Amino acid sequence: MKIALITPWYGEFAGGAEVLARKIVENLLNDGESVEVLTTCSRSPFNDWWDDYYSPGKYNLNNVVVHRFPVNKNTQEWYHAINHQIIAGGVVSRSGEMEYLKGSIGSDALVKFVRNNQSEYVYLLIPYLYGLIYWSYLAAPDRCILIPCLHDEPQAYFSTTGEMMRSCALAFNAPEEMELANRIHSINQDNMAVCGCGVDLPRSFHPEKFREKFNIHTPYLLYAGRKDVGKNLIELINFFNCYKQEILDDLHFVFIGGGDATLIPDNDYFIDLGFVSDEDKFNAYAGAFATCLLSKNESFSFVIMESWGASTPVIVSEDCQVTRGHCMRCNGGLPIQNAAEFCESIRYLKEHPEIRGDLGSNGREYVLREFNWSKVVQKYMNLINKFEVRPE
Amino acid sequence: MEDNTIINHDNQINVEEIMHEIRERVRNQTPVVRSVKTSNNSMDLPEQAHKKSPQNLPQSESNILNSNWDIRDKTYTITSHRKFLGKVLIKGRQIINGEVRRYIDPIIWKQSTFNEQVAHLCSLYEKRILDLENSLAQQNNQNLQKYKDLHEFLLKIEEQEKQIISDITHIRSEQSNNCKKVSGLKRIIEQNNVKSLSNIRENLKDEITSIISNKNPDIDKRLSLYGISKPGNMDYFAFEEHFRGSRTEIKKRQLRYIPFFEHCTNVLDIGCGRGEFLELLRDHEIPGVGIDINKGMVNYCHSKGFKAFQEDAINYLRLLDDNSLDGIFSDQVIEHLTSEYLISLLDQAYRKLKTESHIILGTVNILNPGGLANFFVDPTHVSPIHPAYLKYCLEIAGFRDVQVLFRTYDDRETDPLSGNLELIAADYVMVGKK
Repeated sequence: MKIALITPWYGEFAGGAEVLARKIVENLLNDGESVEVLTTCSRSPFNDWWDDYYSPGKYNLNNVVVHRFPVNKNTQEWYHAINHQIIAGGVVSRSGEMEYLKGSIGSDALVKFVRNNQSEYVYLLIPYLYGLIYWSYLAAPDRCILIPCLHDEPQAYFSTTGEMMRSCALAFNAPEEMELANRIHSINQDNMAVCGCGVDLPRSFHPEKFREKFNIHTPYLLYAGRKDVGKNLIELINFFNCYKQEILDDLHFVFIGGGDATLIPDNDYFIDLGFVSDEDKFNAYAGAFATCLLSKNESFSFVIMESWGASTPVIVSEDCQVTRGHCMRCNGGLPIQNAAEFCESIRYLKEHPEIRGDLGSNGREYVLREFNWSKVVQKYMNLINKFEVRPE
Repeated sequence: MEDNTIINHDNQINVEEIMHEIRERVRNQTPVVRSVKTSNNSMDLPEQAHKKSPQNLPQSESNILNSNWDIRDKTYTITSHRKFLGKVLIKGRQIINGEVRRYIDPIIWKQSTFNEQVAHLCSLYEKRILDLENSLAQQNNQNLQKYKDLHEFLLKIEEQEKQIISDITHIRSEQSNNCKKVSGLKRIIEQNNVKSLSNIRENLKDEITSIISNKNPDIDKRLSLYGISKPGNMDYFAFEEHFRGSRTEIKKRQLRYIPFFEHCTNVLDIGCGRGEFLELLRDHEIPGVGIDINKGMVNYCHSKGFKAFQEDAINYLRLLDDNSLDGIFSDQVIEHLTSEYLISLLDQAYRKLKTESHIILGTVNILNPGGLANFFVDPTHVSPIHPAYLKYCLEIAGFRDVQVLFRTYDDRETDPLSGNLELIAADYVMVGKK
């Protein structure tokens, strides 16, 4: 069975869905499956969606065959018009949805390829949000597995999203994502699974190396990932400021990752290290008092998985169903609602070091048990193998 | 559905309990901690405010003030214990005392008056302060009570909130179960529908077959009405095997007509015989049905897996809906028919074909002397049909673009005038389009 993964961007950009796409492809390939990637010539979501950065053609990225197709040009006006409507909280009609999808990143050449080769592949589509995914689904409606990466956002309520949800096989990242999809679209429960994603962990962790390298010798909370307002970072910083007003201790807050560095206050207690290597990242997790992620829109969260992989507990938002669900399932982290709970949680963990340790080891056990690649690949293959093998 | 359960292995600790404890601790904290997000200023509890209120003036100090405001010395009297000198001394002291008091008494008097006023005012303010303190204390007590009531009210709201969340979760869970039930019922209904439809289809099929079989005894009668006779006790299957040619050969000859039926979904082969054309249709994934009046032929077609009925053409066509066929093929059949039957057949064929669909009729080429000479080798042949006549019949039935195709068996160019009999096609087909 040949498998083709369709995603708007594949390569250097490392957003959540893109990392997930890359890891799925590489691990299916490692498992001996025949997998290729169909993507556009656009560079990343932060570059022009309607202009080709790469040349069309066949590439080899980390042993993966990647077919790049030219993007559709000059459709941005349609996209922006409806996008403004969405941002303003307006209701989008069916024709509005179609204009939005026509204007969004797309590639007629890629869709034509899918139409002409529909029986040769099973198509993995990720994520649900873009026109490219919808038109690809229409080109081979009975050969698609959608990996939606669904959040509770206006596009999730589109009728076109419902069409895909009801026709495609579905691979979710977390039970809460599946519940959300079911709540919005009453999807058929016969052709879907919570597959999650494998988490790659180093064999050993060396927190002392991190401390030595960055000269951090006090306890610290960790934020890992893009510094972005959308990650609820401002609230997290406010909460920590409240903690420091209340308690005079030497707890610091360390940030690793890219994004908007201006969000971090110019204050001795905040340490922004920017991008660090994978080795430093995992050592930072291992040395942290706790990892904090108050983002309310997570469909999987590699950050908390990696933190747990390093046996470090997490503090997450009570309002994020996915991260809260992970914490409740494994007893590995504390979901908090406000500054008072944030401060008290830290105080509680300081007073109960043995519980902090238990939270971390529960998390690690959860990650090793549920999110190892052999289990995840098996779940994907169970979905893929339900498709009929058609003669080439 | 796949196994979507992520197993929750029970641990010694429980996050829900920990968060409950943390929230309890937050609840029991002073507002200064609870409002830490929004305020930088400390805010005391009412109890603490009460403790910090101004202290009462000590009672002893008040007494001292009241008993000492009058500084006039009324205790001093001039006396002397000396018997003789005493009178002189007393007089002298009285003179001096009188002279001194003449200067000092006004000052002392003024001071005492002032002291009296101050002491009076102090007493007055002390009383007022005490009243105020009592009033404040009373107010504080009321505030404290209000705070306690508010706190209890908040606790109740939180309880109700929890209850509401629990109710919502319950409702969601019920909704989810209902969705599942509806989905299950939907599936059952769909399955039942499919089953019912399938049963209805099967029953209809059986009924049609039964009707057709029941009518089969009438075929001879109906054909005889048109002056057509069946071969009687002759084994026509064996006859075809002997004279018509092998199935492979016939398929090869008929293959050239397949392009007329490309993309068709319902083609009828009239007089399907051994099913050569039905096989070609199947090879090209074109759905087709055959009819033949010979039971042996129909049975043979069934054995090859083709759909075929024992029926005569006119009667079969009458049973069909108008515009329901998108192709009719009939090879080496019309020479078995009377002219009357042929005209009725073409009339029905035209009704049942869709627009743009083709009819192809093949027969013996009367222009080939050999063909004509051998025409009556088959005793069931009624009459040879001249191409011009057949073309005319198709045209008056309504068909357009009617064309005759002469083709030799080996696909060589035909040349009727060459004198070479091999170059004059033994058969021809007439193609018409609705």
